[in-house]
Amino acid sequence: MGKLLSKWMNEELFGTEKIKILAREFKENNPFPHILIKDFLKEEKSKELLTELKKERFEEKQSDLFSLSQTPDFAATENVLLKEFYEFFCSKEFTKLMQELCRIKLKGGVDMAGSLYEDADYLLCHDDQLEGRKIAFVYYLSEGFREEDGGALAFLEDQGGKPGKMVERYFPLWNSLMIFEVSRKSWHEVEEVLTSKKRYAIGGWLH
Amino acid sequence: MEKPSSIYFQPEILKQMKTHYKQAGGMIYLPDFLGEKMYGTILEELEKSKGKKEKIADRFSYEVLKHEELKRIFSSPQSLEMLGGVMGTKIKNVEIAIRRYGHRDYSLIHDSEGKCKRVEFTFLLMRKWNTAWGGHKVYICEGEEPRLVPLAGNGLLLIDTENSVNCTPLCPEFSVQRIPGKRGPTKGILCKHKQMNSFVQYVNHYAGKEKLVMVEGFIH
Repeated sequence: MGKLLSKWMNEELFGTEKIKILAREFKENNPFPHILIKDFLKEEKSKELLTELKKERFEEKQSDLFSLSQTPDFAATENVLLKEFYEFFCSKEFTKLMQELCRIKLKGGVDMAGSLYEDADYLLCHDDQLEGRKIAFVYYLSEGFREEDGGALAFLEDQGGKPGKMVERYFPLWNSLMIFEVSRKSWHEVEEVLTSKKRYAIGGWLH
Repeated sequence: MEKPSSIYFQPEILKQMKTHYKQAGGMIYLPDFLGEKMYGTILEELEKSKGKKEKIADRFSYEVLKHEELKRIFSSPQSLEMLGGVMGTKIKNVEIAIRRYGHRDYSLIHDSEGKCKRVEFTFLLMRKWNTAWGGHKVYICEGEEPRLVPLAGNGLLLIDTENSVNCTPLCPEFSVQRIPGKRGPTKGILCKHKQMNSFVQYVNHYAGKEKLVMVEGFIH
């Protein structure tokens, strides 16, 4: 494991064999390649990240598709820890790891921002497709979420170019990283939050 | 023959409506559109009506209702003549859909929309509704304030989505309530299309089992 990876990540995660297992799971998961990596960061790092994320300026955003709050892109953040986290995702070590896990060629380049879903916030169904986006990621910093609290990330199958029935749901799990391949079939949504708990996450795309 | 409130057929009122529509850049809101009794009867019938759920997740989610009398009201020769009089044009054809929105329902703007010239109308039927529950019909256009259709039963909005030029929100005095615990003031809906487009805001869990009925139509 590289220096940067071991600084941030849970060391139990990425031996050669472990990567192979995760890569197989990523490829085989339906309705499109994805994987939820539990206990992704060292616990103290995730706690520090949440503390720093809460200091960022969140702007409420609404459109036909969503109601949520978001920070500006971390490329421009002045927060030292969040900048380091952004640079960790931009690093060659992490890019190489993601390429091995997803079997997707990455050009480099990361979009990354913090998101906050509060009571009754949502993100309706879409496919994330925009030029250059290869892998979407969400790193959950949501505390104490249970299934009945809503806010699950739901994946829908593709039916002839349109989203069909929902086939997989992941409720926000503390210190877990969701990654999925962006394609015309990557239909997904964030279900409405049904609680006053705050659904914090850091998300974006690898190019 | 079913028709809207008689006040809207008075020549002087009709003239005023035509002037207002023109001055507002192709937009008018007509409260108490139907007579009180007729509105109450139709609302009751629609509440008992079993709808057909239709959903394409990246487009819409709602129930489709059938109500022939309501359709006739909007497509009767008298109504078309009156609406045409307001718009200053002869109406050739009206398309009408009756949709019921409850918790988790919505409609989204779709890329394929907004290319044909048309005047849209929206008519609402409901018992009680809190604006914090969502369900607003929202009109947006790049660089303009969003226009929210007031969430009040028996109101008709007529809006020229192609030629509308007035940049004032439809009802500036109309404030949207917040869900308790959420931060900050109510924000406008972001604009993302050059053409004026509309959508129905997601109905959130605070609506519980309450539903609203929206008659949505296009005038060609």
